[in-house]
Amino acid sequence: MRYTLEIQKLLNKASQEDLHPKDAVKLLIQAIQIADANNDTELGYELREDLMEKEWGLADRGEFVNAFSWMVNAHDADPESYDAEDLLWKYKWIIDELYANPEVPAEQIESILQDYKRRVTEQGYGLRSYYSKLLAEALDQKEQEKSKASLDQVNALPIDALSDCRACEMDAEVTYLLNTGDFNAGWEKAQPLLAKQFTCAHVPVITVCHLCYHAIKNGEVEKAAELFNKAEEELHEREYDTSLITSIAALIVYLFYTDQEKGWNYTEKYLPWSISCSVKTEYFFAMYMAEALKRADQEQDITIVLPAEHPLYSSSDTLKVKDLYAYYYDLASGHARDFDARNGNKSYTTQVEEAIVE
Amino acid sequence: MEDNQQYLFQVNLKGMISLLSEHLYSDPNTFVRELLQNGTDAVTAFKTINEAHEGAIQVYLPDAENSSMIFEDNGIGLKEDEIHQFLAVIGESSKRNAFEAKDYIGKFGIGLLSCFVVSNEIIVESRSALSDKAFRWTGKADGTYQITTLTEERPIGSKVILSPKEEYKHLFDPVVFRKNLMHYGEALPIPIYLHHAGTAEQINASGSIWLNPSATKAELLEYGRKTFNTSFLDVFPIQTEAGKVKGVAYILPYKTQFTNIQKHKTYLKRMFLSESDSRLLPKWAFFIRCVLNTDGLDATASRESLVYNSELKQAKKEIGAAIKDYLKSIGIIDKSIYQKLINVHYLHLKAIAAEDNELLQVFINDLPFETNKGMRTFRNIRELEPVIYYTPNIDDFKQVQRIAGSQGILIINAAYTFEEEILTKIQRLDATLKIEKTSPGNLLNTFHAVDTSGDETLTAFGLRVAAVLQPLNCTYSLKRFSPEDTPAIYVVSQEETTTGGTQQVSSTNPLAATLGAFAKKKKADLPVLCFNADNKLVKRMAEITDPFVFPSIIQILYVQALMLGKYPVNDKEMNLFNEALHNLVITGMENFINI
Repeated sequence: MRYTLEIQKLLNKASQEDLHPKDAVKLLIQAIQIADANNDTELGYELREDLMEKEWGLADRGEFVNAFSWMVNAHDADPESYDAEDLLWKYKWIIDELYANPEVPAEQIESILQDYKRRVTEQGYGLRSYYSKLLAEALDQKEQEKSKASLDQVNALPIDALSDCRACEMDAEVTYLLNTGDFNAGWEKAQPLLAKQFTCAHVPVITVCHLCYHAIKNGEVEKAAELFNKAEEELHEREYDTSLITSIAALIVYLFYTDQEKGWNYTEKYLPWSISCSVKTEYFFAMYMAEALKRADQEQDITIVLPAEHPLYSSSDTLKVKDLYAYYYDLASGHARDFDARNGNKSYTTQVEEAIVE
Repeated sequence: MEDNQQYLFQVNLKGMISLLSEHLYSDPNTFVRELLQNGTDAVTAFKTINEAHEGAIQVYLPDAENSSMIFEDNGIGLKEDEIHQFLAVIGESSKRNAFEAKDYIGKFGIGLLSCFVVSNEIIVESRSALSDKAFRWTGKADGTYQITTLTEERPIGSKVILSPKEEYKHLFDPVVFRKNLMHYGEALPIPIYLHHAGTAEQINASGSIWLNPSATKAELLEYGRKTFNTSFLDVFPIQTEAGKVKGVAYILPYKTQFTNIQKHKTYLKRMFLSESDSRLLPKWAFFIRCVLNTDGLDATASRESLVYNSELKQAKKEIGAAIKDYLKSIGIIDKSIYQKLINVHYLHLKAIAAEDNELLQVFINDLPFETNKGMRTFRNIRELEPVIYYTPNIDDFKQVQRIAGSQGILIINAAYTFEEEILTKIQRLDATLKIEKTSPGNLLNTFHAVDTSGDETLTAFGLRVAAVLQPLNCTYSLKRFSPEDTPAIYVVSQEETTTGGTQQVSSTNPLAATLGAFAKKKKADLPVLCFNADNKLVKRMAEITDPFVFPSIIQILYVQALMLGKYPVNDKEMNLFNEALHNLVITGMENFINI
């Protein structure tokens, strides 16, 4: 069994604590190719689980859907050999991923949601997690009525092993209240999260970032400053979690209200995280960046080191604010058109336009 | 009953004592530390009254004559009311609210409880510097205590007397106890004497050489060797403003993995605190071992780690900067250590350099990179190669390695993310360099093209090969390249490899339909089997027209190219190979018979 040894070696390397998750992903893909070449489905399945878990902590989830689709095939061919609950949990991630890609037609998403519903029901779980997925998308689209309806459905159903953790569910409620425009209600609702009574991998860090953004937009300068400090504290420990990039972009907006120099530092530091991520992530990142940059002096020349992959990258590291602004505004608007065409509304376009209103 | 009446919680004292004493501390030896701490703090307190006071701690171990252990200090001592207050109220500390609180090691008022782990009874005899009378306090694990006045005259200070429990007697063995006493008290600034069977020995006589600014490098390295059992490469001092951290950092003489748990010795106000990672070191400092004392940071209640607060973070930042400063200057100070440092720790240095331009420029030329021509330093590479090529992943490197070697091109394997970062950064910092990312496909394009337009045989050959390769999902190309004895090279573009694999698609998998939306945006090229127009066999092939022999040879070359390129060869391909050989053998036999 020479190949299993080879895979083990790759896994040992991939599990090194301080290895960048991107490197771990590369190693896992190599391992998967070896398992596949040796027709070892069970090992291939396990490795894909590892791969998905690694990619989940990254903005770049390039292998997510491929790997998962493979896992579904393997599972369906031999359902006894694989844990259904684990598979369904990852299915939830995949639903986010499908919504995040405007190339996936609405009908396909619908049929996948139905498939998820069927599988969940067959395994004896309730539909709370299903409605959470609808809620998450409605919140992203800022569809208040749909959000309210899904939220009510979520709360009407019992918690089970597939429902989002309490921290995530509460974060969704906070987002719902913030979307209604009632900052204070969101702030109140977020208290248990801010006090860390409920935490998970991404809560409260994302809650804090978005609250900070809404606080400054609502003129709550002190609260915003306090939230920013909290957010900075939380980010300190997450040097690799590029999936936080949109939340960080919300903080950058805050900084362009209060301390533009720091805002540029943040931009330089975190912008590389936005390279190669899902379209939705890129959309929100670009929208926040446009909103932030709109506040800077457009004619100013700034020195900023962009990653070499960035379309505006030049070796001089200098560019005009207005060029960077235009780039992100166009990027956000372009993605918004694609999403709106798929979703059959104007939601994403409206969000961009609202973000850059003076 | 009145509605507003306030009730007090009732506490089960016995349970509380056992809880605190047995569960708060992970190690039964903790009482040694707590006693040292109380003794030292008492001396420190006395010094606020009398600066010239020379403190000392005396420990008498149980022996044939005396079955209990006596721990004696000549510190400030306790008055009767202080005894009631501080020894008998759990959670009350004499030190917390004191003006000089920052000078004391303890502050929680629970340290003495750790003695209940090893003894059912604690006796404290004390005379305060502010009183003539001495008292004896006897506390029991059931939560009761007594105080008696001592009639005989006593010197100022306190004595703690413990009667070891049967199961912990071994801890009071002179060898064991001495080790523990040294472990915790080695760096304490007051002398500690251990008495046993009529002999006395100062256990911290050698002091803390690592805090001594005039210590030589040789002395520090010797201390490091004894403490960590390692002959370190080098040692340098560390000092921070925040947290008042002082000490030394050692460079490990061997390679470490990124996972290695960091082991350092941390002291708090010169009392040993912890051997595990105290979070004082930045996480990239895998190759460093430290001995550090902090006077300005706080310990958690169990005193086994530091509180992770903003002061600690600032101290950590300063330590990170100190290590980087060392790294930046060591090349100037000592060339041989610099070279050893790079030889051993280049991987970690690369990871750090990827994030620090200054360090990058200091180290870049001497950093070694894996290339298809073996390990080479960047200096060597840049001097010899007009253009520096690299591949960003190991798969590409493996493929390119074979091809490039024969073309005389040097290629760097930049498989770690930070290696690619280093190369793109150094390109930006140094405009004279020409660094390019490459891939097997790119390399293929550098081969000499073959013009087949006027050659009907070659054109026909191409079409026939393509027809054989088509069911194998592979395309054909013809170029000239060296070495001539390689008939064909198989090249697969990186984009093509994915985790989607090939398998039976489940009829109930609606995701399969969406995969197109997640395909890589760059068009994935089909793998290419590139034939070598200079190869003898290939030249002959164009003339072979036999409908059995020709495809068989192509199939064999295909599998051979897979194997040469170290690609996995699956069952299907192995069968193809065997079939083809079989065909050739049969054809050969028939020819033989027909002669």
